[in-house]
Amino acid sequence: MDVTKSQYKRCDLVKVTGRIDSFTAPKLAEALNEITNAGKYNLAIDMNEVEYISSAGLRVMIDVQKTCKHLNRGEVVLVGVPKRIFETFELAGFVPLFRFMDDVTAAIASF
Amino acid sequence: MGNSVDKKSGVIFRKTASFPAKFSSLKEIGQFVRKAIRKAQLSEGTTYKVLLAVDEACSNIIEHAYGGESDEDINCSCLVTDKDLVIQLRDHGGSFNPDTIPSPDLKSTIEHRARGGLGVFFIRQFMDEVIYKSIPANSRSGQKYDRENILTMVKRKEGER
Repeated sequence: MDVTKSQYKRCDLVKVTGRIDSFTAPKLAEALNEITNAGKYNLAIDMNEVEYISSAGLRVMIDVQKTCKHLNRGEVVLVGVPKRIFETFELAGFVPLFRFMDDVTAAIASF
Repeated sequence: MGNSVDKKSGVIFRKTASFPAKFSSLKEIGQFVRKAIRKAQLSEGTTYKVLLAVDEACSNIIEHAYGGESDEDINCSCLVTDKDLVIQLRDHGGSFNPDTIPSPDLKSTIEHRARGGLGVFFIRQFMDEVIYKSIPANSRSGQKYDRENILTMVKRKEGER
């Protein structure tokens, strides 16, 4: 798994590639916590190149969304979620908890 | 090249391997199981689901049976027959019976969403049969471990989704 971060005026973009499992999820959590610990709560996570996500990865997603949505200070938007991974979000009942978008540029502009 | 079937048992493929009980093994275990899935000729969607179930089960063994990464092993055996794919995971940690894990409340709000239980829920959703056995060593003499836990997961080929 690789994580690449870039900063925009109104949000931070985090591109994740590869496998998000119990081995790599802590590294993703760390990358996301660095952003929220800096007081930034508008996040777009680009998941176009995520191959796989397990419940450990879903827990990271729900944790960061909780942090961001707290006090209405921001939110996490998930971008380009592949079909299989979206199905996992559906099964977990996570779909109502996130905004899903197809396009990275549109997601950045949506904040 | 087609798969050769043992006419009597219906067995197409059988393979066993042990992996260190560490999270870094998860990818390798997935690659090992993928070979059996290929022999079972399951669809791409089913492949993803079986791999996810195995990954969740192994994560639970490391996290709950062994109480974290350990020098012990996870033993994985795959059996493909003409009817199904059977995956067995064995460990020698504490008993972690998935039947005792309640299903997560999938309707609760984000503030109240519980963090646990999803892995076992996925295993149950994705596999056709899930059988857990925890056997104390005293019922089986001559073992060097106190306990053997065996999780058997079956995916049937017929009517796969």
